[in-house]
Amino acid sequence: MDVERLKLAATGELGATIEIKTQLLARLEAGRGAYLDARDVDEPSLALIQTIEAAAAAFAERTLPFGLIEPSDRLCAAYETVGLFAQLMSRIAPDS
Amino acid sequence: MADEEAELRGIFLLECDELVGTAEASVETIRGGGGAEAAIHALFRAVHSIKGGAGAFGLGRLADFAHAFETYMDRLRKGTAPLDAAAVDLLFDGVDVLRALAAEVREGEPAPAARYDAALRALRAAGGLEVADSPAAGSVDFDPLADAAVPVDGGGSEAARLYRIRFVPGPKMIGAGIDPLRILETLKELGALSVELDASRLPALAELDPSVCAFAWNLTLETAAGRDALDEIRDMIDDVATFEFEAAAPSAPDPAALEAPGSQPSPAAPPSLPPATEPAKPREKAVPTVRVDVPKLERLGNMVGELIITQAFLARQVAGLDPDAHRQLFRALDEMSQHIRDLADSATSIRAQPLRAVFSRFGALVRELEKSTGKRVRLEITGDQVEIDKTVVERLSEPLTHLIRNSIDHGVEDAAGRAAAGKDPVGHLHLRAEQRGAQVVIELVDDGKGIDRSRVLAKAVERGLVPPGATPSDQEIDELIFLPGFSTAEAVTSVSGRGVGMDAVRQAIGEMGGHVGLTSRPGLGTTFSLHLPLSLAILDAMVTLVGRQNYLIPITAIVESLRPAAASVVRMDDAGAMLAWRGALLRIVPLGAEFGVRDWRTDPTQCILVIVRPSGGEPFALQVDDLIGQEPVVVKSLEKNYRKVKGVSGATILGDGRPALILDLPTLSAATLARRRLERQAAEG
Repeated sequence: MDVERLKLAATGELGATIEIKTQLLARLEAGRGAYLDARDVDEPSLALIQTIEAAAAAFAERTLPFGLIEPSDRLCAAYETVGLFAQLMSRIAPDS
Repeated sequence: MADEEAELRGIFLLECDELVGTAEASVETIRGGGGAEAAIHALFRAVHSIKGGAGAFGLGRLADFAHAFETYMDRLRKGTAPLDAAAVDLLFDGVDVLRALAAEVREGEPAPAARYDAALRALRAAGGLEVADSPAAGSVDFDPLADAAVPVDGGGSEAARLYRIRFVPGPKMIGAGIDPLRILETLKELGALSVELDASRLPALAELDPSVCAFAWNLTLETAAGRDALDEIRDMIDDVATFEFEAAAPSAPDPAALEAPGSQPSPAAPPSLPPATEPAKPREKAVPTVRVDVPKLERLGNMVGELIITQAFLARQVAGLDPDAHRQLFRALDEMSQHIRDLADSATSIRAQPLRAVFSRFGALVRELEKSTGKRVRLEITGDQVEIDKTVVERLSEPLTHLIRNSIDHGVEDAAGRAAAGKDPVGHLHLRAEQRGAQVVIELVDDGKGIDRSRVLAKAVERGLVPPGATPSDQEIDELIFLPGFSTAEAVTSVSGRGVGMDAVRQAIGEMGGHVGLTSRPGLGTTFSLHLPLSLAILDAMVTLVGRQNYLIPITAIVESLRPAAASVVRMDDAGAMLAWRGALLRIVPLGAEFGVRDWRTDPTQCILVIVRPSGGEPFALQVDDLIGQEPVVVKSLEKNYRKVKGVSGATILGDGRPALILDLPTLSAATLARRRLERQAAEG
């Protein structure tokens, strides 16, 4: 299966999040899976989290691989804070 | 998005003004000694809210200063710093600088650097902060939301309580720079937080707008921080999110909710708040607001003005038609007239601003004057919520400053003088406002020694303003202080006594279409009354005819109009014609003579006499050839387009397209009195 790695920016600010959404849509359109390298995420945002969640649902619907690689402690904490920690655990990419 | 942020920032600055007002009132209460504990908490909350808002909008200097202020307040409320006179001075300084910093953001005029630095240093020192590591201006770096965890209700020892919270971010929240994640993090810092996420609104990736939060939460928080901490979070995000909470008894939490972090809600049971055991405090529903550029408001006002002129024109055009034959036309015109009046009222109210905008500055002024004069004065302000035209608010600052300076310098006695008079050693100055019909009346009342009339008269005689031996009435003597260059101050002080005060006040108020009144009682004090029109733009006026000219009289000043019988007109050598009216003799002021009109009717018995009573003044009779009728008119500045004319407050265009002058009754009255005095002096050689 064709899976690409996309690196998440250190901050989940809106511009970067919109950019990652665009890249994810392009992968989706191309029928390719995506793994998000999340090790450097230092300032996660709600915008980023909801984009990841929407992407996870979209890739799952197309049965395309999707996951997070080495989510940073900050991202894990943010997922827990918003009430999505269990979902995060299920999104960890197999090779991370 | 930038526009939205600017709008939110504007709203914060408006709130900031109110918070500064609350802070100032709290310090006044602290100074007075009564209810100091509650006032300290109120002050703490106000400063804390300013800090939070300033931090959220990146207003570094304001946030930094509020942080130092708040830290000091925390020591005061814990009793670890003394609450003495020096502390009160520092609190007042702090409030003044907060106000200046808010103005700095709003108007771009830098707050005085020396005062900012001194107050910041003093607050940091008093608050036990390191003075040396004060962050540079604009470099403050803290999370204002995290700080909302500070318990601010004085209940540091409050037992933990359980709160159920419904948090639904609105579509503009993220765009406004407030991340819902930060709110949740702040709540976590307040205590044990359990989270129930509602992700049911999350759209497909292609439809997702990352700047619009698609999540909502039902939260349970166990915290000892108190309700105020939640109130502050709610206040901070009130415009961009729904944040509802209610307290439940600590013994009755929902164990499942407390132990289910990360759980998803059941689709069949949409998140909703459980029944309240302690309802949240009722809050006033905020009225939605928009910010409008002043030029746009002025354009609206001008267009309403043009509409009024057109309406008056139409009314004149149909005046000769038979109402029965044109019933529909007349009904439509009546309706249009009412709509235009409503529109004009709305346009006027849009321009209105509360007087608080100007009154709020005077606390600092009085404190400065206390220092420079050594007198102690308590300023009381009431009615500052009364609204008046924005232009008036902006132009009131200078005359009111003159009056307050004058009252403290000349009116209020020093402590020894007050003690000798059996008065409270602290002088009392009351600045109050109220709306009376189409006017706003502002009064400044002091409990000082009143006007020293013998001294005023002596000074007037010395300056040749009153002939030696003259015996003017008390009111006439009081009026002398409004003459240009008149001052009884023995020495020029930094406060007053330069002879450029009261006449400037009267002129400034007159230019706004208002009038200054004065009453004084020896030993008891003096009251200055400013009578101002609600709107400077539109006026209900009686159109009169003198020769071929039209003159307009403000309707509010008219008592009655009559055609006098010959027996009621009394001719007096030294005062011209007088009208015997209700047991009194009123001066008759023939407008034709005053304004040099051609072909005016000189015989009062062939004319209409309009009896007017200017605000705060004595009634007199205006002699006109005829009355044309009542019209709402749009006031245009004569001064701007021509020059100042005594007795005239402005001009307008009538329905028939002709220009007409609007009378300024107080100055007209004064001008006729002065002219007659000169005529008498000339006659006496």
